[in-house]
Amino acid sequence: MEEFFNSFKFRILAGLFVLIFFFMLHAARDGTAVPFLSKAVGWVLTPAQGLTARLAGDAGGVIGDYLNAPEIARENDELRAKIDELNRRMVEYERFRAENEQLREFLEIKEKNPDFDFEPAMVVGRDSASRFYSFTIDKGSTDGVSAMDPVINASGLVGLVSEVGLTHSKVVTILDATVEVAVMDAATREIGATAGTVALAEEGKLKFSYLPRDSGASPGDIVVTTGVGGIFPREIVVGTIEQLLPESHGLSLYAVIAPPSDLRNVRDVIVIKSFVGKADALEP
Amino acid sequence: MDQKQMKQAVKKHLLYALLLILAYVIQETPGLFSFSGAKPSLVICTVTAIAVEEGAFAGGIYGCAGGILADTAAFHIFGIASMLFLALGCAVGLLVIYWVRPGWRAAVLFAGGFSLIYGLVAYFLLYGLWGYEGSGLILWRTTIPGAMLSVLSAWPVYWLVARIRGRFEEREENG
Repeated sequence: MEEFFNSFKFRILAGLFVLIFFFMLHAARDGTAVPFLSKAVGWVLTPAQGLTARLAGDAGGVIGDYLNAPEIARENDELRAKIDELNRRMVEYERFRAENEQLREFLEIKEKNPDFDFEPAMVVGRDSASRFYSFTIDKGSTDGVSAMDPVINASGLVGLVSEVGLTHSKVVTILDATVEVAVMDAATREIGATAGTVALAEEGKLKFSYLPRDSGASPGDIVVTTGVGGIFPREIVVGTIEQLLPESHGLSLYAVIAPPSDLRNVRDVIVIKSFVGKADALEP
Repeated sequence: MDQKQMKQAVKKHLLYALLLILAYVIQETPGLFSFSGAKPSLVICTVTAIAVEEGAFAGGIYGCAGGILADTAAFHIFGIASMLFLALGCAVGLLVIYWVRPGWRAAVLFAGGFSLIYGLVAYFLLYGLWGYEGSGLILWRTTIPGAMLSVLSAWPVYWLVARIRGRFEEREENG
């Protein structure tokens, strides 16, 4: 070992040691931790480091997927559960939103007709064989619904209850040929009756009959119920006159009425259980 | 040493230098071979392996070179690692000549010790000296695990260095 310490090689190492020591002192005195030697090394090696960092990142991503597979699977399950929960909330939100809109409409109706005792209902079934778009609602006798109760929506008259079950009821629309409604032209006060026809029902429209030949009614006039007969409340909008045509016999005119809402696709309705002027003991 | 031998020696040392640079680049690559924040010191493993195979002088020179690389990446004053690696590289070479039989065991043992010494010095200069609260955790979570990882990494690095040396020795023998 003594040989080594006396050798020329050891002197070279000692010289290097001293040289680096002076580099260090210079760096400490300057306040810089990065003398030119370090900068030179960094300049040469940084591109290589950049390349390996990129490669390591890519490889790490691939390897990481395998190494972290159980954790990724668990995270996947958690995220799926979260998505399911969010979807459920979204559905609930939509329901609340629709309910909110409906309740606003009900409030409007109630404010206009304070004597109405009504029950909101949802269309839960449609008879595909029906040409007049009859439907089933989710309220029945347990909710106070009775046969012949009128059915409306926020826009106007829809129909009336034809059959009542415990928790459901059947509704025939005013497009039905068997449902006659006593109506009047709100502008001219001319009275008549509406009924459906197969041809008009397919267009979602109905017929306002018994208009005199010299009727002052014109397209655009609003047609409302008169309340005569005690079946339907008065002044419920039935529709708007689209055109006036002579009857086949030529003695009177009829008007084609377009209801304010598409009765073929109505989804939320209101059953009026009682109102001022309702006739007692009606039978369908 | 004739011209041919000189050429072979130059090639051998060029390979050692490339290996040292490669070890540095891999060691400094973010995220690579990192286990809970601790990384092996491949530069130390390379310097130790060269010192074991080539002796004190080569150990000192490559120690100095490895130290310069370590200083470039470290956050302490430039020169600390260079001086330390030079001294330790030389010491390893001397110990192998006069005390310990050369081989992978020596390389692994000295790599662990070298790494621990450097880790302690770096910890002292960067944290211990300033008295940062909770800095003791760095010893347990980075310094000691780093030394253990260096021990694990020392064998493959030593194998590479030994292969390089063996190949050039073969060529020298075969003329």
